[in-house]
Amino acid sequence: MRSRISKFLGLFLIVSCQRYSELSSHYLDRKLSFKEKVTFYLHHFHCTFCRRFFRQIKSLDVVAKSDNFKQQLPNKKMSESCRHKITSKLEEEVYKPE
Amino acid sequence: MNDFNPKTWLENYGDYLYNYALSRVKSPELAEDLVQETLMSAWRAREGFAGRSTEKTWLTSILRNKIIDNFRKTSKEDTVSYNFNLEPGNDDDGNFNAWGIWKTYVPNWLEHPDLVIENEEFLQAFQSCMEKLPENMRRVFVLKYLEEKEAEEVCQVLDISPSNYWTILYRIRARLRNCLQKNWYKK
Repeated sequence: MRSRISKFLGLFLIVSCQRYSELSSHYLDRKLSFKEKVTFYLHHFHCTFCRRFFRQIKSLDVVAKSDNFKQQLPNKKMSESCRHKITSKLEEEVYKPE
Repeated sequence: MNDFNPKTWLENYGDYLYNYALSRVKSPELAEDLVQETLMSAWRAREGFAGRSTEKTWLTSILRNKIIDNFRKTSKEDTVSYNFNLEPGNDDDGNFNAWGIWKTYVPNWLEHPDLVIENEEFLQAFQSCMEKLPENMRRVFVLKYLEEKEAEEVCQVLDISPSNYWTILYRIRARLRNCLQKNWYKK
């Protein structure tokens, strides 16, 4: 039944996979309007590829917010010339007369 | 009273602060400048350091503010443009055909974040995909995900409208997904 109703409504509210993919991203950031919600769900139930896309960006969102991801830092060394520059700047500042 | 020694800050936390800045800004020169500004500001504001947090946390919070100030300043000066094609329906990433249908098969991967959240290899691939984002997208990513700023504040710092912000986030997600599919899933 749900499928027949959604097929009927789908005639009026057809959206492309591209539009769905945009809406699915907005779904993660803001409240969708009523029309956006209807078009989103109608497409969602019919399109396997789009459901996969949505699950993938939802998972990426969770990983990007995780401490595991945020605590990952590069492992580079500051250049020696920069160290010297900062040291002399700091010395200037520290020994500057009040 | 704390016994401040800015040279010790540089020795102990210089590389950490540099890497912290590098994870948020693309240019190594800018990262170095930000570390220098951070240490200078910390020295000037040393009397205000109440010792409630560690020196490392205190210096990191000064650096975070410096990074956000830099984003704000350069966005206002228009040195970073957010005016790339943000029209709905524009497909820069080449995922869709002329009818807006997927050009190629969308494989079933990344079903659940728990499957990858502790996977070192995945996290590194994610990091390297993030680093490949163009500067304007990278800034939105940094402010939203790494600095945990609300939409309103991101728009204010970068001087963009909310609808631009949502569209940029969509482009970021599409790019990161494509990049990870290519460099992690298909590997």
